[in-house]
Amino acid sequence: MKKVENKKTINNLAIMGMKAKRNKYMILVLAVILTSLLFSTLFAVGGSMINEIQESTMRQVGGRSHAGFKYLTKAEYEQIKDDPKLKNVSYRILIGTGENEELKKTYSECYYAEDQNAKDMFCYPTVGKMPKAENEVVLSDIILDRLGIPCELGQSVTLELGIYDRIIKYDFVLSGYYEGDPISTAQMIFVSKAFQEIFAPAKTVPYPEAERADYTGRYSVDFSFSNSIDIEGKVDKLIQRTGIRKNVDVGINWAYGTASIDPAAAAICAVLTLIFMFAGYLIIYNIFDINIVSDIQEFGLLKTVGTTEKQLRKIVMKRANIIALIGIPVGMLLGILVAALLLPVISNEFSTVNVGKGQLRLNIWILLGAALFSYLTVVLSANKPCRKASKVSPVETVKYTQDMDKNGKPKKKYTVVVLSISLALIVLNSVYGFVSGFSMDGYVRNMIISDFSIQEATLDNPGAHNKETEAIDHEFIEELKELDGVEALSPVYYREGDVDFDDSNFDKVKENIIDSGIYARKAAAYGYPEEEIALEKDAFIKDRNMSAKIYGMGEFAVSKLKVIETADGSDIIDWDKFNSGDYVMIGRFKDDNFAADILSPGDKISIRSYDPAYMTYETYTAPNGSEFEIPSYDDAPVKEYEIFAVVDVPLAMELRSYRLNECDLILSEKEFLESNGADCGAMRVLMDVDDQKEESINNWLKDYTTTVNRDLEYDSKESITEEYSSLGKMFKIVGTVLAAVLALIGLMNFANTIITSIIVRSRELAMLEAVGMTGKQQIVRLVKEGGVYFVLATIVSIVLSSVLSVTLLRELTKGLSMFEWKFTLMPIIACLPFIAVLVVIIPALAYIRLSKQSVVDRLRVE
Amino acid sequence: MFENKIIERLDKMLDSAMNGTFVESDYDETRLSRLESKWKEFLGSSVLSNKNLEAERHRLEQFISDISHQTKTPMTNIKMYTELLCEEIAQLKDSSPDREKAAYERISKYADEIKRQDQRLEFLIASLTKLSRLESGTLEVVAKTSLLTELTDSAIAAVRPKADIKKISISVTGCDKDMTASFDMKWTLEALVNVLDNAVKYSPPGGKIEIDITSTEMYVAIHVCDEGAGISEEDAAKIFGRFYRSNEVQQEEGVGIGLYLAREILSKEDGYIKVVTNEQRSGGEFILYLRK
Amino acid sequence: MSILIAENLKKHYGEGETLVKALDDVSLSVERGEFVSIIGTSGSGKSTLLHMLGGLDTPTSGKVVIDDKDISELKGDALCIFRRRKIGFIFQSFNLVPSITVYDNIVLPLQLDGRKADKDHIANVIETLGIAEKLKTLPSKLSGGQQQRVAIARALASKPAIILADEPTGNLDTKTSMDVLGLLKTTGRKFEQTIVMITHNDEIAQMADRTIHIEDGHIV
Repeated sequence: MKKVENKKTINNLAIMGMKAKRNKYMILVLAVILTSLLFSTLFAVGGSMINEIQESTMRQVGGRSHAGFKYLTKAEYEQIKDDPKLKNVSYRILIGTGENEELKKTYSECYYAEDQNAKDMFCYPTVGKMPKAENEVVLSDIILDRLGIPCELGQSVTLELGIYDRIIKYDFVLSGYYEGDPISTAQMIFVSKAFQEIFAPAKTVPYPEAERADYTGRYSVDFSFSNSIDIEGKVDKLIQRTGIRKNVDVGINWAYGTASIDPAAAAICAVLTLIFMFAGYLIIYNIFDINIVSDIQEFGLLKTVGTTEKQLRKIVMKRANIIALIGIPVGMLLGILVAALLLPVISNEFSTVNVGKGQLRLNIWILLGAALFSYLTVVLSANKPCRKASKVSPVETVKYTQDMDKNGKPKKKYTVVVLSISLALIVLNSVYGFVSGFSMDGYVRNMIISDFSIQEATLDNPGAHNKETEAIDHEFIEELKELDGVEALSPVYYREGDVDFDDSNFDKVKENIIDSGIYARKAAAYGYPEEEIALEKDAFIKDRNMSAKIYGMGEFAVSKLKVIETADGSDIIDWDKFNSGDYVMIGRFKDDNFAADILSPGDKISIRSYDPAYMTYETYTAPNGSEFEIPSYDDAPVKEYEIFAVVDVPLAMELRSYRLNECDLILSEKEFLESNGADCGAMRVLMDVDDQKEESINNWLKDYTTTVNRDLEYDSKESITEEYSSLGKMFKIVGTVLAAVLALIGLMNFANTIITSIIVRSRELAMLEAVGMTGKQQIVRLVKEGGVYFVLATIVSIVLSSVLSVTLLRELTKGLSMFEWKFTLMPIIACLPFIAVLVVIIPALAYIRLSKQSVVDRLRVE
Repeated sequence: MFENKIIERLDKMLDSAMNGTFVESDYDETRLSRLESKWKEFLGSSVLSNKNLEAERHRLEQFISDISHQTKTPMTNIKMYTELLCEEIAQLKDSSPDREKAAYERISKYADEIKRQDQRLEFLIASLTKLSRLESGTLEVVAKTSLLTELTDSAIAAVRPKADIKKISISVTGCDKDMTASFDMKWTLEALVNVLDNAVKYSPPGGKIEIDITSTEMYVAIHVCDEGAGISEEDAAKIFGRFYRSNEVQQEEGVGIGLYLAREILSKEDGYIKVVTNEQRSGGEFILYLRK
Repeated sequence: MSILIAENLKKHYGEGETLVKALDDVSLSVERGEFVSIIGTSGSGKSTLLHMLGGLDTPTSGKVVIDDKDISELKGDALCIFRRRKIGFIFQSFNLVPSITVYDNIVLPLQLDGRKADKDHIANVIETLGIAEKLKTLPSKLSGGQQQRVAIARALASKPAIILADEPTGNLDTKTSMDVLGLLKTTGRKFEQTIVMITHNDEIAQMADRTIHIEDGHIV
């Protein structure tokens, strides 16, 4: 049926009612601002971090485009470039690779690229411009640094370029350069179209029909879609739509697929979202309720003159909406500001990005999400007061001033206020417990086990791939040994290989890791789906073979291993016996939270040599018929070792790259070099130094790694300690901000409840005063009332914090090696005096303000 | 959509019907059109009945007017012959022997009674005529800002002769020279005179009548206080009724229509009249409220 | 023709020994255009009766018929809408919506109903009640008498079937009371409204055309 039109009246009532009680509703707006501040900070930080991780992945991948086709001809490029569903279509043409001697360790590729393409690959020159003339070139600062050429436009650069089967040498002029990212797979060398046309003219024959596998002169086309959902499906459709050949080489940017936040962070965000919603609910609900109750006569009156329940609900919801409309944008603005301040601190600790770290990266979804959650909280909070307003009975309104309990006394808002204050205290306590449990020793021990550790710069960067594990040559090690003050030093060598288990060993291995279920657990932790776990398991049982991370260690490094079990039952490794050459130590099959022995001390195991001298090539035929040459060590000698001990290799020593099916094997330095070739470089060097010389050695290393060999970097206990303190600082800052906002909410809730109850009872108080109760006595009475909240909040927060501490917090810290759980109620106890003071001051101030009116005036108040 | 249109149309139909301006918008095969015609028919018949009612009222007024007019001559004659009768009896009484004097005395009393009843009848007919004209709207009460002193002075002047006979003093307090209210001078004077007349009637000889004028935010109140018996609580609600006369005052003159008329007049000019019962004060008090 | 009929109204609270009969078998009827006062001492059940008549409260038994509609048949929002169309309320404590202007208060029941205000009628009401100059102010700025006049205007604005006044002068001094009552009476007459007023004051009751006495829940 057609409804009568009364929207305007409802709006008018809603708005005028709010205007009349501006102050009350301002408090509500403030509450919404705080809530929305919490949400938008969380979302902006979380979202920026996800974006940052995504961008870092893109940098690794080398582009932000959704997908690309490789090795196209110009005709093929033109076939797709105008597709209406594609955005930012751009191409580059491969010319070759940088082959200068100085670039040996820095893989570089030479292209002609469109501006858009360079931008999408994050390689657009930050200084200068893209090359135009034949002899112009754009390079990354990393390449320039390798070549020893200063970052200045106009510098002449001589490059040796490998173009298919020839190498040409050419003198370029630097027309621009960009900030290279050390973790990206290849550094870009951009040349002009003119250069490309001369040296790598565009191919016209489609790649599958070409006689030779020559990629030069072929188009790599990158493009994006309207959004990043189901890129693969969209590419399939694109192929069908444009009719480009079915076997085109497709590259999908996996940054879009994998840029999910890790589960722990997601859980933290979820918990925080819930806490924020709860905190927001507590205050918005409470204040809304107070406002509704104080307006209840008005609502009853409206009902008497014929306002329906639905209309009353509309009035209240309209108010909620107006409050949200004012509060949320302001809160979001503040929240984003806070996020911008927090981000550098947080990003520093968690992210692997090297460029553009800790920047605020906002997008519409983050803003919408924050707004949505804030709004949801407002709506949820307004729901109950809204029902209350609509259900008001018109007859009772005259008497109605406050919720009454069973005995006809004003109902106190214990639950809401106590919970609100407690929430702040509990969060503060938990954050403090977490931060104070952050063990310096634990963290530092985890990150570094010697005074210094020297390794290749990207070795410990989880974002880098193709890690160089033999970067430290023997001369350098000797040089280190010569340094004044070095007390102990040991290189750690590394070779990747395989280990085959014989029948008797495999029975044990199978029992230890397959039958015990550990294998499946680890696979699950690595994110394998159910069916693939079974496949992996079957393959393992069939092949009886594991990847081996073969380490070679000196005495000093061996002494840092965590001994699980030895043949002689001692928990120290007998170096001389181990160094005899007949022994190997084996790691455990493990993940963060569990570990199982693979084999036991006394078992025998055969290890192959991975000396490049024994390397041969084996031809491997892929399922699609194409043939590859793969390196093989099948002809290399194999030596049998007895397992000396089961050990764990600490994080600070190992190669931080992991597979499901792998095992650590540790040989002595001498045995490792004997087996794998004496000229094998070390992965890292661990050393302890005389405390007195620490500074001078630090300076020496700093100098060496910044001027002599920039490929290397070093960690010192000191720098890690600093890093720790900044991590601790981050936790403290974030925790304090969080607790502060929650505390503000809690106190606002308390103050508002107390003040309202005083105003509501102003008549009662005036009456008491009229019959002779002094102001002082009244204040005492009010303070006592506040005291009840205080006592209850104290009890609730202490009990809940304790429970939380021994359950959730303890469980959480178990999984994190650098955290030590410890029980504390310190922050609550420290906060109590402040809260106690406020509990006294707020009612007293409210009363004093009220008592400025004369008793008679107050008695007259309806 | 369609529903909206119909509701809107119906709404308009009602509005125009209320204003008396309804005409059918169009004639077609729609049911709405049929409804309009029916609606017009209904309005027509109700207008007709309204008109009949109006005519009826007019006839009634005419009838009363006729009574008033047609009774005038016989009344005048009755009056004249009664006068003659009185005069002759007076002469006869003087010249007749004592034995007959008593009989003449009696006849003289009867004649006086006839005279009195005639005056009452005359007053009654005059009041009823006024009342009927007032109620039928033939004579309109037009309220406009007028001076109160004029009203009170005229009213006092009107009752002065009767008051003087009973030696009753009339005083006015609380009335500024330029105090005004919104009333119809002629009719309100009628009302006030009626009230004053009553006061004079029920006041003991040699008593006092006080006219006190007070003012509220909305009204000017004319309090008329006498020293009579006042009105009982029981009677308070009834005295403004038509032809009501309380038991206690049955012996006094009056036809019981003056207060009713006064109430009608005042309510026509947005004022009202109330009585203060004798439980609240000694003596009678009427208050006439005139809109400012 | 009766605009309001109450038949055998009963309102009982509690049960057993604590049973309170606030209203016990009350029947009455009010004619169109009548000004009836219900008089009784406090606790006589007069307020309860008024609440029943106005559909603010439901009787234990019996029925109330207003403008030929038995309101005990109406529930929730329907009753609410009935109230705003058919009943005008005037309360002792004025009960104006404090946050909106005098004019908005007057037309509120109309607007809630989505009706267009009958401008002439409302102007007339406003003029008669002498509040034309106060239309744009908030109720809190007005004196008690003025507020009650606004309440009368609100009750009259929607041309309801009946106006229920609950001790309309209870919060006013004598002089102002006479103003308000006078206006209630004269406007009731002028706009041909039926008025039922409760009061405990004989003098005030006297203003009505008819007085109904109620004592201990009974009409006497």
